[in-house]
Amino acid sequence: MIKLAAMFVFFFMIAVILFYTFLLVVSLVQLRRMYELDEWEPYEEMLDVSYTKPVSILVPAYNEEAGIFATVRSLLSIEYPEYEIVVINDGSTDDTLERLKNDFDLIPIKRVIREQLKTKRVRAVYRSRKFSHLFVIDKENGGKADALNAGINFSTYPYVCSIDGDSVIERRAFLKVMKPIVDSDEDVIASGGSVRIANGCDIEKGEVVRIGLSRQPLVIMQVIEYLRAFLMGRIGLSRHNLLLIVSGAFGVFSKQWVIRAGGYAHTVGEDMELVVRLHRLIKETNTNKKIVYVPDPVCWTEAPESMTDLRKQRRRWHRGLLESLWLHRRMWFNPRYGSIGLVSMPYFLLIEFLGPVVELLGYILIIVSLILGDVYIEFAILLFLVSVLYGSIFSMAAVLLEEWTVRKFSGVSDVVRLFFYSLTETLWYRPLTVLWRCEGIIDALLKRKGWGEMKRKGVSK
Amino acid sequence: MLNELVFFTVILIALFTVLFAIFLYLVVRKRKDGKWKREVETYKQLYEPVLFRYLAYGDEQVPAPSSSAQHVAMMELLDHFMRVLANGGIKERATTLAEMYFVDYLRAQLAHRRLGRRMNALFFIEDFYLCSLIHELEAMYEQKQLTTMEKRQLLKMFALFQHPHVYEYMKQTDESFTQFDYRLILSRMDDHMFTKMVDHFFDWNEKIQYALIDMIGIMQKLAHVSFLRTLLRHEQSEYRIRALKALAEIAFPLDSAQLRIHLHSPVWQERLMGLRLCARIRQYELVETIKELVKDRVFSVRSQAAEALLRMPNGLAILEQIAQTSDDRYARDMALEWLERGREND
Repeated sequence: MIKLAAMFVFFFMIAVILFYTFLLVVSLVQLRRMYELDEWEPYEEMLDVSYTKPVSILVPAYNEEAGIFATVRSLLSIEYPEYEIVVINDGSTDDTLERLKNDFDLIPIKRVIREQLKTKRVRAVYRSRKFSHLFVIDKENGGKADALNAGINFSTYPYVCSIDGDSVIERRAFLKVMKPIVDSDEDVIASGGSVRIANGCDIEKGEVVRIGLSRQPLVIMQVIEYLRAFLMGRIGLSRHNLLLIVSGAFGVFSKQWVIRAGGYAHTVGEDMELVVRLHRLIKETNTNKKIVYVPDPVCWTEAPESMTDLRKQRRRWHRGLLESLWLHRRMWFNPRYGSIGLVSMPYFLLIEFLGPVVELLGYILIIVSLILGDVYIEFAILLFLVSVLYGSIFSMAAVLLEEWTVRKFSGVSDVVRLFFYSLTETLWYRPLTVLWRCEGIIDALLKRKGWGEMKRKGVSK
Repeated sequence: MLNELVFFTVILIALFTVLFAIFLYLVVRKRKDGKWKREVETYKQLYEPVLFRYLAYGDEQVPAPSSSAQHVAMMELLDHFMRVLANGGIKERATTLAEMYFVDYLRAQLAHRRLGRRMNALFFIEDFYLCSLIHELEAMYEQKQLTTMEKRQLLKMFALFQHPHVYEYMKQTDESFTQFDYRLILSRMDDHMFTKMVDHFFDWNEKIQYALIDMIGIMQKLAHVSFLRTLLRHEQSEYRIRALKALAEIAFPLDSAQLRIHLHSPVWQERLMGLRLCARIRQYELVETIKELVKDRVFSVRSQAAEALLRMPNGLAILEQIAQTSDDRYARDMALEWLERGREND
């Protein structure tokens, strides 16, 4: 029995390793192609308003008094020809609205809101006297998806971008994330940018002035994890229009398509849920639209620093993943949905969702085999070797890939620390996250709700 | 089992060795790059006053760059000055300097195996209007393995340099070219070349046609207004919509009878663009028609109609009247919103 289980875990991991290797190679080729390309020239002509599509930036805020000022401030200073910022105060119980009113000199205004998506009641609409393109909607609490839908109803421009209320956007990120949309004559209907961890960076008045690395091991491991997920996973999937996640922290969508897809749904992972529905719509209407990921534009966000917060976050993410997968179970292995049904959905189901279960089984088998001694010790070593390959090696490769292509970290010591921490991933961080993700599955099965909020300190000085 | 263990141990050791080797290489390279960047900065500080005096007054000798750091420092500085000081004389002197010192360097970059380097060279050639490299650009365009990115950039430059074969090149473009690309190419053409494009309007593919109409509006090319007016009578609605949009950009006054036809169009985008033109030209005879459109079934049309009314000489009064007396709830709401917007701007 143990032998059979060990062989199953072993072959599963080998299959996953092969898939990751494929993604790594695709990413490497893609990133190296653009290596050393001027950072500004390709985007310069987009600054002319006559050529570029205007964007409505939606910032859902629920109890974000610590980070909301920095987020809005960073949005006010982005380089983009025409945009509006719509902050949606989703019935916050703290001083988010008061803070916004005071900091940005808000006055109530009358606006006809076109209700294309059903939402909770909007109490009032404000406009800033200092910045005429900054609006704040105050509405009854309905959750993040509801807030985003209210923002979509209010927005005036054809593209909407959702930004988390605790994020800071680089000044040129919008030009970069909109480029594939403009360049494709709108064949691209959604475009997502990279998300990086702000802990350890110096952020002043909503602008990242120095990119640094936190001293906390838990944060460093998350930095590595983000590099791996964004640089390796998403580039590879995006290349073949297989992307199922455009991060909720920073993604631009065609408003018309979002409305056709029914807007954001009230699920835990509303960002993934929307992208899956968009893909579904693309296939069902037989159109040739794309969803892409752009590696360069960076949105900085605060990562949890304590085990408790990280655990809550991971449990929630995994619950969200299951929810989306379950809602769209019709697409699993369904040739009608093309590569999305045959590759993306199975990838998210088998590798992203069930992967942690198999990994956990692997860890248990390692321990059991060690206890049983001689007969099974070889299994234990074999499974350990494969999990090192699966965890640490890919993370180390992701760190090197970053340094070889994107090169956001300026200090040599940051790269050295990232590299050596990634080496230790299999020994402590990966088992922990595997455990938390499995807890997420149990939560979902037991229908446990709850958001599991993280106490934010705010990323800006 | 033992075999598998040995196999995986060997794989792991090999991978670790490779990754460590790459890591060491990258760390060493990062250090070297840091040093190189500092060197470039030093040169930039050294060249800055000299280059400034040369570009501003033309009375200074600029020493020829000899190392790659010196090339990069001078190119970055020139680029910077072009952005902040751009005017005729400065541009001319910058081009002269670039022709003198960078042509060989750029020629080598155009043949570089890395796309990023080749593209940067193309951007520089465009920014500094280096026509002397035109033969290299032509040769590059003929290459089979050219990427779409390079092709687009080359076509923009041929348009900018008023290349005699630009029409043939435009004819050869494929599906990978978008309306946005064509707009950028057209924006670089001089009046003569642009007119020739308009004269052969119906020979082009749809994307080029749409880009041409848009560019007449964006670049305010009044000479082509009569062409836009002929398009207004075309049976294809997309031509009419775009022509109206371009006329709105130019704010060209159409007579009321003609505009009324578009305001009554069954195609809502045409009504919308007609209203946009109304908002620009403020034709009072159309107030009653526009008032009807504040009740239109399409939200954007209602909103644009209210804006058009607001722009009329007594716009606030008209909107006030709609807000108080209209039998349509949506029209009342829309009038109220634009009334407030109008008052905010007062």
